[in-house]
Amino acid sequence: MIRKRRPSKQMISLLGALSDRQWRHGYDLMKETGLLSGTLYPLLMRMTDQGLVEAEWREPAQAGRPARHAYRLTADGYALIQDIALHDGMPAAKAILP
Amino acid sequence: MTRALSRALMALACHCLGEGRREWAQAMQAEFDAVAEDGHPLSFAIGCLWGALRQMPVHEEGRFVLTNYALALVIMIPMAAVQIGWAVFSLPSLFAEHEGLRGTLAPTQALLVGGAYRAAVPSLTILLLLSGAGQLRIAWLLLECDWSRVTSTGMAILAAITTLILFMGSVFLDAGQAVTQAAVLAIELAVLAGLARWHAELDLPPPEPTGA
Repeated sequence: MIRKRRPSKQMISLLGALSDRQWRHGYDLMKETGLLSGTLYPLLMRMTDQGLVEAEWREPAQAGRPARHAYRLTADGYALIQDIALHDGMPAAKAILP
Repeated sequence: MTRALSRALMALACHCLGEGRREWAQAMQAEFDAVAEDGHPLSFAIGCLWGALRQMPVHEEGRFVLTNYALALVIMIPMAAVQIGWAVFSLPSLFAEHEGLRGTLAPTQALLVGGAYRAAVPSLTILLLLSGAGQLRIAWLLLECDWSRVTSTGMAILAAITTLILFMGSVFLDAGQAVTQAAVLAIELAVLAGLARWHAELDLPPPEPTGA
């Protein structure tokens, strides 16, 4: 995978929130990263297009609720955040790696 | 009230994302319900709308929609205003005393032509008003991408303007304004044909089935 541009702070923050590779809902990601919906969703769309994030409809925990979209990092997304931490020396990225 | 406004903004945001991002629009809509229960629907909806608007120039469908809106707002609606304005303010006074045609004709000519003109003015005014309304209809249909109705309405307006030019020529009135309108309309129809072709070439998913 060739990374052409240095990821933005928002993107690193989102990668960090997704780094546990669990399925996460958009609202949870907003609360954790502090990103607003107008930043989060375009970012998720772009990262999904780039193959860094995968999205899936997940059945709700409580019956009677509508299904929600959930997101998690792909292997490429995880490789990207490792790459950022190892080569660019970004403290934010280092902090989120195990 | 806040919830209703938020829902309206969400609907607009989903519309702006277009068919190509339908799944993302559904995802935002589903998330909106969870956010609304938590008490922050308006800020979430404003954010989604802002995000959707920023996405529009990025993808081809968004650029197509923006072009349609620009055409409707910059050409169709002003053209409608010109035609309605002409029908209401200008056409009835074309034959006015001294300042209009009557001032340039001999008394006998004015008597002959004036009767025909005065008899036709109400019909011509209605024709122009209908043309103006037709322009507004085209603007609306353009946003809905209903190309068959756009074409039929455009042809009807063209026929109305042609009738106007022929009549004005036959009673020696200055048809310059009507000819200009016909020329603009011809350009408009050519642009609309191009837009219809662009729409057909867009790689859009099939529309969702409606109803149960």
